[in-house]
Amino acid sequence: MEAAEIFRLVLVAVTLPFFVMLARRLRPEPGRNMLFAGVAVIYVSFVASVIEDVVAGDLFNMVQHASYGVAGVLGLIGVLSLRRALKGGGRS
Amino acid sequence: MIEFVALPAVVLGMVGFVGAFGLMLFTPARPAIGMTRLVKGLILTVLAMLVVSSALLFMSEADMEDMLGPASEPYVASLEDNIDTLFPLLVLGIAFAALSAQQYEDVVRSTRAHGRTHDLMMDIVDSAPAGILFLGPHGEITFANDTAREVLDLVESPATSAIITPAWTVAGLDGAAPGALATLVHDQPYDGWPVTVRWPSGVEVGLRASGRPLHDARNQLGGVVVSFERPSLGG
Repeated sequence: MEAAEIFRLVLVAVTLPFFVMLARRLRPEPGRNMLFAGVAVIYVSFVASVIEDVVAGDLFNMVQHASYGVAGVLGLIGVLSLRRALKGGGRS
Repeated sequence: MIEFVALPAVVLGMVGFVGAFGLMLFTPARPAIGMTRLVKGLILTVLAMLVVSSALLFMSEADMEDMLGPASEPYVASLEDNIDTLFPLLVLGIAFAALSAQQYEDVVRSTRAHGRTHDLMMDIVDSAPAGILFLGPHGEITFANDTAREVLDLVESPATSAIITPAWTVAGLDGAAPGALATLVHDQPYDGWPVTVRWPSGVEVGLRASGRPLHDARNQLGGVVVSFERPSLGG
């Protein structure tokens, strides 16, 4: 377990409540929830990268890598939806 | 099984981040929904960081780190750590910037709507056949519509936009001694009070004034809205 990984987790724990508070006040827009879900999945990968050093290393290593795959797909879908809404000129 | 999932997942993530970056690069900014250039720039930065991060993860998973040479190892590890540390801060920054832009747009929209309502109300008040005045607590005229300006010969100072009261005097209520418009300042509503305005030339205009007091937040008299019908000349 590296100090940088612990520091990153602490940083996530400190910033997450503020992020949630700000995100809840934003009006819902197409794709925004997908992007937020992508962020959440990246945070899952951060947690998995710490846990893999303590217990079930292979499993959490897979979770860490799989999280990147899921986050990439969510990010792409989110940006696609956002782009479609922005080009359409309306809010759905 | 784990190795069969990890590498394709990272490749999938990398492709997704590269695609999202490319699409976002050519997505127009639209402040109306919080997508300002700053927000777009921050999202692009985060996506670029994720592309690099997933590429480094891929190289580590595929045992390709040696391609960069042994000297690069500490730099790669440091880059990975720095990217992952910056990520939560940048994500927070994006949410803050988007919310600020959204609130700014709300204020601008609300101000525009308020301005349109104000213009409409001014058009209605100015085109009213009755004279309408707003008197301050001491009887000074702070607003007069077109009819009131015409009847009372009121003019606006070009320099200060303040209304200049001409040399007429007001005969008090029920024929009392002449005074200022302060006689119309009252903290209770009134209807049809007779007021006579007398010009130095001797011309008199009889008005029947109605007033409604306005109070401020501390319930202090802030002024009176006075209205009167277009009068008939007398004297």
